[in-house]
Amino acid sequence: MKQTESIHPTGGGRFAVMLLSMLILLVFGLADVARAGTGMDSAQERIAPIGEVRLQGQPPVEVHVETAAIQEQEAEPRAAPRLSSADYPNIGVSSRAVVWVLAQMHLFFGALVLAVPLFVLLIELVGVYTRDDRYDDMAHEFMKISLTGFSITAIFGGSLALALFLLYPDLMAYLMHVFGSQWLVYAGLFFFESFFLYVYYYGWNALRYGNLKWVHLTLGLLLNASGLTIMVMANSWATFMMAPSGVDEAGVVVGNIWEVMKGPLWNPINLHRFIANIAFGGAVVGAYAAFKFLSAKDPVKRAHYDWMGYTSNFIAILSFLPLPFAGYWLMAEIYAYSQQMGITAMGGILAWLFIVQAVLIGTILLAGNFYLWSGMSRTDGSERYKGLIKIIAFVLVVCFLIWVTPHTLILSASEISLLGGSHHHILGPLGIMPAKNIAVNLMLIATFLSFQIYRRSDKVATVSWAPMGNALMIAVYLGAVVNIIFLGVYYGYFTNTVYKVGSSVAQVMTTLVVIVFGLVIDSLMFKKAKVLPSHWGRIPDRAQYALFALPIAFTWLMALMGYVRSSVKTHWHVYTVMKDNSPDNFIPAIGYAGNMITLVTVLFLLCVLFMFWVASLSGSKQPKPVVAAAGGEA
Amino acid sequence: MAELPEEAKSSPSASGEQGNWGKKLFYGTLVALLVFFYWLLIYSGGVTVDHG
Amino acid sequence: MEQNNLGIAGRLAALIVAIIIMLAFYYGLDHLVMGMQGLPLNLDLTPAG
Repeated sequence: MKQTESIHPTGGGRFAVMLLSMLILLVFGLADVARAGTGMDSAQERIAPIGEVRLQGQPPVEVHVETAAIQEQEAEPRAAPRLSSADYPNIGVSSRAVVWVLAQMHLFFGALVLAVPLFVLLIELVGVYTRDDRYDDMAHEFMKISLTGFSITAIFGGSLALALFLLYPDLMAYLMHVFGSQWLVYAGLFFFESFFLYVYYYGWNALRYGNLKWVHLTLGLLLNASGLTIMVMANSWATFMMAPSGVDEAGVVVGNIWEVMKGPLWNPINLHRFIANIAFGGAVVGAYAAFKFLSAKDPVKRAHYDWMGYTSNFIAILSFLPLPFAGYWLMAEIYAYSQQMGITAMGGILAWLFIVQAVLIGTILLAGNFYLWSGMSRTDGSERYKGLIKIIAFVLVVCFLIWVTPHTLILSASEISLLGGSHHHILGPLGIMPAKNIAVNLMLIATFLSFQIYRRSDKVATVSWAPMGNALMIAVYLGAVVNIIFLGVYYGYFTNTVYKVGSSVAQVMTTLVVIVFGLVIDSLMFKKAKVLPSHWGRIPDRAQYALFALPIAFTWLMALMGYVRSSVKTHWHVYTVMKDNSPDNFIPAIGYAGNMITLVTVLFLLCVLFMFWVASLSGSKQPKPVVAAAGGEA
Repeated sequence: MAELPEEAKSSPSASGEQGNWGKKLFYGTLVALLVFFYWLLIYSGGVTVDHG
Repeated sequence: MEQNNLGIAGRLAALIVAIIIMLAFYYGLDHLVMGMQGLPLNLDLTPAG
């Protein structure tokens, strides 16, 4: 045996030899390339044809060699190309439609795979601190069902890149030139993300306790960090196209990569997408939990998936609360950058989309709240708070109706004369921003109240100052409602524009006061509270359909806002710098866009079903067929 | 019945013999990442945004 | 139970006091937030200057 081993190299030895030979080849290859780049051979020798190739009957090919000129030619500052419609490849279908579908699918899955590791990490941390295995198991399950999502993201990302290079080669060449090696940093980050993902997921049970668990958490942290960095890199391309920075009017790069990346819209979109991803991810895994709940027969499983559904809804709605403010910041920066762009978005051709957005957000809030109210049947102590549900529902519906009310209507001449103008004289004022701000803030406060009463419903306070605490809590809500309405009505309709816009910040702060006071007062007031029994699994089936509605609304909303974000730069690839002269260089009509959005939403949901199915497939095992006994019947 | 080994008895995170280098690693990495993201998103090469 | 020792009148008084406190708090918040944005207010919350 030993003799054989000394003659024949072991597996490890063979590998080493192979690696060494590859390295040697690589070194020689690189040296070859390096030598070619030093100009040691003359240009004439390098470019002169070895043999002459020409068509029969044609004169000999003249080779013009400009040796010195080629090497000493200064790089001219490269402006953005001015394209004509002939410069765009035509593959027979709308290029914009192809890129739209691929880009939106990539964004959907990208959002999902960024969000899930984030709340998985938090849930895992909660599991470590509470020493409750259920949290760890749930975190593990969330990772399992989203694992395929990473490849799906990459598939759509790769397809998107190919489609962009095929269909918009000049735009891509320009963007590659502007962003330079940042593209390679982006590509390199995927190595990190994949590494951390695989070790984090497959190492879950191997790194389960003690210090190794903290190593596992660290890996999760690094997974999140690489994903987040990937996102902000990609965000810079989108924001550059909307609000270019670091380039002059002709598109020549005049700044460094930081000036190019850090435009006025970069951090607003980073924040908005970061928060929105979490809300979206929570909604998608909630649908999984709802499906598993409905199909579970065993009460233990039903309790598990009920709890999972609650957690998902909690994540989705809680992270949804600050989202309108991040969106508002983004829109404020758009207006500050270009009034024209801001007006296109919310005062002009795309304004109606924000009414559609209102419908979707109203759906999301109503579904999320409905789920919370249904969940109150899990605890017997919820009876005390059920009376508030009607009030919350009333506030939500009225505010939703206000939010959905448009300002300018599309009317015929006879309709205008009937109406007495292009706006309704009573409902018209509800169509402008101050009314929407009042409505949004009140809806968010109402939603937070639903959360608060849900969380209180299984506890009875035992502290002596509980009545005072409750009085304060009621005052916080009542005062906030009064303040929000006052700020919106007075500054919105009776002062100038600057005060009107500024009052919305005060409204946001008021809502935040309610949330902060609510969380602080409750955590103090319910210390050592008497806990009432809570029955996971005791929730009506219809509540699960609210969890189905959530990801559908979120997905459609995300695609709708993507349509806005892309269209807001109108007929520009890079706003005011590189004109779009493709056959599709117009904002698509809302009906068409609605169809595209519905198409990508359906596609996404199908892919998500596939993703969930693969996860459960990996857990199933076909039983081995039983062989018939010898001598038995044929 | 043989007694359980020492490590299994004590709670994992409080085990003094093994130390809590894991927890320090996690929070150290968290701080380092916060610094990284501050550098990437807020400092950003010293560039300030012209809000127009 | 402790919660019942205030009585109805007591709880109403506590609520009214709390509302007054919170309205004052929001009044201060409005001044602070509008002032921070360079939009000063008069004492009656009308725009100043």
